[in-house]
Amino acid sequence: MFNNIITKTLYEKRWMLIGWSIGLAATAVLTMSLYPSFNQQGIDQIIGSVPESLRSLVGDVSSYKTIPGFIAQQIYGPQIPIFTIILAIMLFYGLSAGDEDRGTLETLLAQPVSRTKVYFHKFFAASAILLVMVLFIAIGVLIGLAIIGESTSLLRLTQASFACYLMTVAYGMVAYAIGTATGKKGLAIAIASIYAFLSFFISSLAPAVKALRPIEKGSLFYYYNSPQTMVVGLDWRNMTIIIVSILVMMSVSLVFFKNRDLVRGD
Amino acid sequence: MAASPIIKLENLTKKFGTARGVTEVNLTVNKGEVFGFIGPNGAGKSTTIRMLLDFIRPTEGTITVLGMDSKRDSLAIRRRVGYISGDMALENRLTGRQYLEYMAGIHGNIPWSNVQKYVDRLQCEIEKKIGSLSRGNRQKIALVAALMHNPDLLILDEPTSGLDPLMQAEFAKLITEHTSKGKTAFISSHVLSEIQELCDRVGFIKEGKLMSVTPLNELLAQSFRSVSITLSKKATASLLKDVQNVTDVTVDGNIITCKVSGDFTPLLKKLSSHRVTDMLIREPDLEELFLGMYETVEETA
Repeated sequence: MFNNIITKTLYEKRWMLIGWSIGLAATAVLTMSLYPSFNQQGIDQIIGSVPESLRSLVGDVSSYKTIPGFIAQQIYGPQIPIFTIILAIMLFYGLSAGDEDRGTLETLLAQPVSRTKVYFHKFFAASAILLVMVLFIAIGVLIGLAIIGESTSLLRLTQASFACYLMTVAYGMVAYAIGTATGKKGLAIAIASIYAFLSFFISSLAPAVKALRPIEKGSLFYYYNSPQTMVVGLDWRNMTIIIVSILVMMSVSLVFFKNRDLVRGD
Repeated sequence: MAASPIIKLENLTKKFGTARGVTEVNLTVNKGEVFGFIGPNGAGKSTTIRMLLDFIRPTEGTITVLGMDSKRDSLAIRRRVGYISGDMALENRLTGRQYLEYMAGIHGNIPWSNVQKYVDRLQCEIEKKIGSLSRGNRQKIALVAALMHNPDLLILDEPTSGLDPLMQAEFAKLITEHTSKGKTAFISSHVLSEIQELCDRVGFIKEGKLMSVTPLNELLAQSFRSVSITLSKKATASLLKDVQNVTDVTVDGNIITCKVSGDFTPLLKKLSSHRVTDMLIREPDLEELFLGMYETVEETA
C-alpha cells in the first residue's frame, strides 16, 4: 500500500478525493435537474435582457434548450471547471513547492529515489486524483439526466470529460512547473492563480471586448470547449495545443528540478 | 583503522549568491570512523551535509562518498547511506508504521523484521499518526528509517535532538554497534558528551571554513575549565595576575571569573589566603573548546 510515492500520495489525499468527487458530482446532478426549468420559454426573455456586451459571459442562449448544449454551457462551461482548476492548482502546488517547504521533499530525496521519479510519481498521483474527480462530474451528469428522464451521447460526454481533464491538468501543471522549477511556494501559487484568473476573464470577455482578442490565445481556456465539445466533439487541434503546453512545461521544469538546489523550508 | 576514505571533500565551496556557504573545505573521513562535525550556528555544517546528500550542489570542488561522485552517483550513494537530522520533516498524516512501510518500499522492500528490530529497541510508537507524536518519538521513527537498511554510512545532523537520556544512551549503543561492523558515521552535534562518547576525530567549522580536524583525545587534552570564584570581599584583577595556568581573568564586584588549563594547584594556592565563599567550575562545550583553540592559533600566528 505504501511502497511507492503514487500509492502513498493517493492514500494521503483520499479524503480530499472523496469529498471533492462527491461535491462535484452533486453539483452536476443539481445543475442537470435544473434543465427542465431552463428549457422553458421564459428563459429566452431573461437571457435576452442581458446586455449584448455581457452576453458572452452567459453563453449561447439557443444551446441551453438542448441537452448537449446545456451540459456544454452549465457543466463544462467555466462554472464547474473553475472548481477543478482551483483544486488542480492546490494539489500540484502542494505536492511540489508545498512539500519542499515542509521539508518532506528533502526527507524523501535522502532515500534512494531519483528526482525524475519523484517528479513523475507526484505528477501521476495528482493527475489520477483529478481524473477521478472529472469522472465523478460525468457520473453526476448521467445521474442528473436519469432523474429528469433524458439522455445524451456517451461518446460526447466522454470527450467533454477528456477535454475538461486535459485543461484542468494544464492549469495544475502551471503550478507544478513553477513549484518544481523554483521550489518557491508563494511564486508557484501566485503565478498559477493569477494566470488562471486572468485567462478565465480574458476568454470570457474577449468575444465582447475587441481589445482582449490579441492576447486571448495566450489563455489555455481559449482552446477548451471551443467549439463546444458536447455538441460537435473534440477539436483535436485545440487539444494538441493543450497537450503540447503540458509537455513543454513538464520538460522545462523537470530540467530545472533535476539541476537546482533544494529550498530549505522553515 | 583502515585508511579507506568513505567521505572525501576536495576544495569544496558553496556560495549562495553573495552570501557565504562554505569555502574550500578539504576533509577525509575514513572507513570505520565516527567523525564529529561541529561549529557555531550558521557555520556551514548543514550546508556541507546537504551537499553530501546532493540536496544542494557545490559551486566548486568535488565530493566523493563511498568512492562515488556525490551528484552523478547520488542514487547509488543514497542506497548505502542512512540520514537523519534534528528537525527532520516526516509525513505527519501517516502513522509510524505506514511511514516506515513507505520508506522500506522506497528502499526496495526491506523485510519488516529489519524494521521491527529497531522499532522494538527504540520503543517507537508506530500505531499513532506521526503528527500527533512528541518530537522525541518522531525522532525515533526517523532513526529507524535511517538504520533499517543497514547503511554503510550514517550521516547524522543533530541526531539525538528531542530524545530523552535513556534513548540517547540507546542511540549511542546503536552507533557503536554500527561502527564496530566497520561502518562509518558522520555526526554533526553540539552535545559534548555525545561527541566525547562516540567520535574518533572532530572537525570544527567556523564561518564556512574548516578550522581544524583533531583527534578527540588531543582536543580533550587541551581542555580548560571556566571557573567562577566568589570572595567575601571585593576582588581585583591583579589578584590572579601571573598565576600559572590561569587566563582570561575578569572581575565583577566580589566575583572573579577565569579559565584554568591543566593543574589547579597554583590557583588554589593563590586563593588560600582569601576567604572564598563559592566556587563554580564548568566544563566548556565543544564550541568553546574549539573557539579557544582557534583563538590560540590566531594569536600564535
